[in-house]
Amino acid sequence: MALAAGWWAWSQWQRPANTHPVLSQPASKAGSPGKGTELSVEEILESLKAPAGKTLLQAQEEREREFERVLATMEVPADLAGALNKEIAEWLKDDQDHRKPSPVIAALLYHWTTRDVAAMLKWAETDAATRDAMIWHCSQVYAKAIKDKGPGVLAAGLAVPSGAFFVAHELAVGLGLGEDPAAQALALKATLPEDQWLQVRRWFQERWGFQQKDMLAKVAIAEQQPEMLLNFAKKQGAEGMKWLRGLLADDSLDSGFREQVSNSAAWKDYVKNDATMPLAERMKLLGGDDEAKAGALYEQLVTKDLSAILKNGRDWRNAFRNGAANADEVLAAMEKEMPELAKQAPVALRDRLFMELVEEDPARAMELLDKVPEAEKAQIAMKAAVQAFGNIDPNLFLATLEKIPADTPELWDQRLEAWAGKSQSNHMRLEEDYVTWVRGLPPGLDREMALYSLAKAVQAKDGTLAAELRGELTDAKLKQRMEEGR
Amino acid sequence: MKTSTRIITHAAAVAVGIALAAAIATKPAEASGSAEASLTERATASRESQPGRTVAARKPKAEDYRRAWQAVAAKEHNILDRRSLQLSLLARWAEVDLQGALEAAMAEAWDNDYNPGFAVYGTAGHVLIDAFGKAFQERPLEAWALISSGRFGAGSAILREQWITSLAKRDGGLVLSMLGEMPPGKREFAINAVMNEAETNPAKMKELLAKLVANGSGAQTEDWLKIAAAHLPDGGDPAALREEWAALPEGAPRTLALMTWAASLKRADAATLRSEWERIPEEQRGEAAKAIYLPMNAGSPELMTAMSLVMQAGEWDFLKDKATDDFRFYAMRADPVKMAEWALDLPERPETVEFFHRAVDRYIGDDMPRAKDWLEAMEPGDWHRERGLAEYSQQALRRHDDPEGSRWALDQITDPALKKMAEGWRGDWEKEKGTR
Repeated sequence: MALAAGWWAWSQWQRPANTHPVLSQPASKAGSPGKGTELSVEEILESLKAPAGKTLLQAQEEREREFERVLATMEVPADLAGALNKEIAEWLKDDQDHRKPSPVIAALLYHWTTRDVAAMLKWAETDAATRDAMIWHCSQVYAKAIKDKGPGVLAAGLAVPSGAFFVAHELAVGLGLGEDPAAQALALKATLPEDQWLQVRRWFQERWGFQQKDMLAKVAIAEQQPEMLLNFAKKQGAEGMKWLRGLLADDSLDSGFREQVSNSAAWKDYVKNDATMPLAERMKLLGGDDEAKAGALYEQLVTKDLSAILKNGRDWRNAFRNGAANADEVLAAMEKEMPELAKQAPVALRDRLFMELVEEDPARAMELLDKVPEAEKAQIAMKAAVQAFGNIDPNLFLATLEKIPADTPELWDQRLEAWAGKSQSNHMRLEEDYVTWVRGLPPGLDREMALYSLAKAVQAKDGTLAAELRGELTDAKLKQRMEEGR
Repeated sequence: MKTSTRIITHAAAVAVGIALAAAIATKPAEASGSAEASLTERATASRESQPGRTVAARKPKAEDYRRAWQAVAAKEHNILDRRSLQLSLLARWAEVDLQGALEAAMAEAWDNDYNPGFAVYGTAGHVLIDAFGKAFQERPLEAWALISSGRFGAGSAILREQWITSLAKRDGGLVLSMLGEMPPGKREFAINAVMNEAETNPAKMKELLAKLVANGSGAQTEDWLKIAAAHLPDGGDPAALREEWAALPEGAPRTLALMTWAASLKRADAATLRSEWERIPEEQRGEAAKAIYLPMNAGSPELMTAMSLVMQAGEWDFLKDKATDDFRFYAMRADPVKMAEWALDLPERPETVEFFHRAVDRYIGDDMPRAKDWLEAMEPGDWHRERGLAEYSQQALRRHDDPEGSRWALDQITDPALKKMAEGWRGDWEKEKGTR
């Protein structure tokens, strides 16, 4: 959403403008006349790399230095609001894409913040320009204010709803960088109404670094918040979870709190996500000793681990989609990455991988199921049609369904369920273009189900269109459902 | 929908993104200044080794980019590196062969595998489409022709969204002049995207509003004006502005004046809003309430007051259409106790059901024993109790993993249709649990 736009805008601003590369001709082999006007792939890819410019860190340091420089030499004006409005008018002359933070605005805001943060935030509510200015500069300003004057200087800002979000965030970050985060945080808590404290507290688990782990644990225990501990550990990755498991194993946590942690849904969820834990231990912690549960549990773990490997490791899905790897190669790679689960639950792994790869290339993904009997193959494919294909090109979804014979009555309901789910999400994203696509489908059961499901999806917002779509139905069973109001 | 671009205001969200990015930035940007240097060195070397042969500089052509594109697939890299490479490649490729680059991008996965549900503004969730912003800005009509040609099928919508958001920054007037050619569903999005850019520039805003009026016709212009003028600044003299619109006959100027009055109130306090509204003659209070609501969003302090005016005026369709999403986000951050109290006064209507649920969900989920007492104290059969029980069941399942709690609540629902629906929700949860 727009949040990401900001992130992206930041990274784009840091990168210097792309200059058009001019590539010189590669050296031709001695003796061959003028051959080799072809640019090699390597040269093209090399040319994409941005020329050396500021790194994000360097740019940030430069910003800090400019800010300090302006602060050191600035005379604080009596009319801060007036001075700010003047600077902002200049600053706004650049459009959003080219704007950079202004050290003068930051300095003025710093002076106001350290004197009366609530008044500054009220001023920031004046109009869109003042709001923009506050938001662009507040992080830098608040960080320095806390550093110079302690967290208390910002506390009053939490009471101003329009600015509380950023204040809370920077307070949390600032506390984490201080001498004794736990003591300072709990001291701050004593001065705040509960809802304001909670706005700050929620950021500790997100923003405190791993070196503050013991401090965070102290706060979590004092606040009786096992989830804070869990979320922090999870955010720190393998290191964090190792630490947490250590805490749970020894006596550092009191037994009551320790039980709260290990019994919590969040901990179970965590264990499900921790592929570094030995499989037997994971299964035990999740109650997999029970034979009846074990099968379902293996499936859940396969799903989680496979997802994580595909996300963080080599981009196998893309390689598969573009023909650089086939389904068996990907499966072999996955078996290497998750050997214990591959041994204990090979079918679950195969089916889960199928569900991933079918979204890239349905025909070639079917190779994973070559040795599976036809009826079972249809089941697996239909399960994928129902559960997968969210936000995927609907043509791939259709191609998958077309591989499942339409004359299998046992699968009729699932086929309709698959269309029902995709119609909602595809129509929301693709709107009229999706409607056109559905109406252009070739005759057959899939077209009928697509029309029926889309009509249901648009009924609330566009009854006329829904009626038109229904008007095109020819399938007797669906028409009957329609008449029954289903 | 307005809200999707203005939940936190666009600028606010942009800056939060900046703040977060700054806070998290650890990796230095790619710093390979050697690329061009080494190529020149090699060229020099080749010149030296083959005296008499001149070195011609050459810009990459479409075929070159296509070959590089195909080579990317064979590399063994992770998702983020692969995407980063593809984004750079597509941006360059688009400069010399827009159609080819678009086709290549649309042949890749349309979803965000790395971070499902996370989308860069203007890409409709297809990460690679972000590469085309500049090309669209530089050759808007060529791009529009390609997008409208139908060759991209269902995916045209994704490209159209990128076109609109890119051009909104560069040439909002052009976007407005193309409203008639857009699918009706996209027009509100387009107007909001354009007007967002003008919020800190009154002259630009005036220009764009005039363009809007010039490009529309009849009732449609007025609908568009209502969306656009919601971005007008607040402040000004409400009484004077009110007199202005009251005096005008039906038509675009009146709509613009009405919206100017409404926008002036968007940060007014509850008492002012009410008293201003009550000065409007009875028969105009419906449209006045709607106009007051339109400039607001989930971050507006008096969203609830505006909603209550809309309800008082009986504009239920409007409430459902325009206020539901805003209210969802508002309720997420408001005081749960206040929300629950407010919910008890909601009249029973199909349009208010969703409001009820979102108003009580945190109150219930935060403290289940308290919620139990609260519900048990209500009149049996009262719709608030019935819906409250349905929500209790959902909170028990999804937030607390407590099927027994859910069962208690479900067994007390007396309305058969509601019970069936709530049991269905539980069924969904059970299904998900089985395969999660």
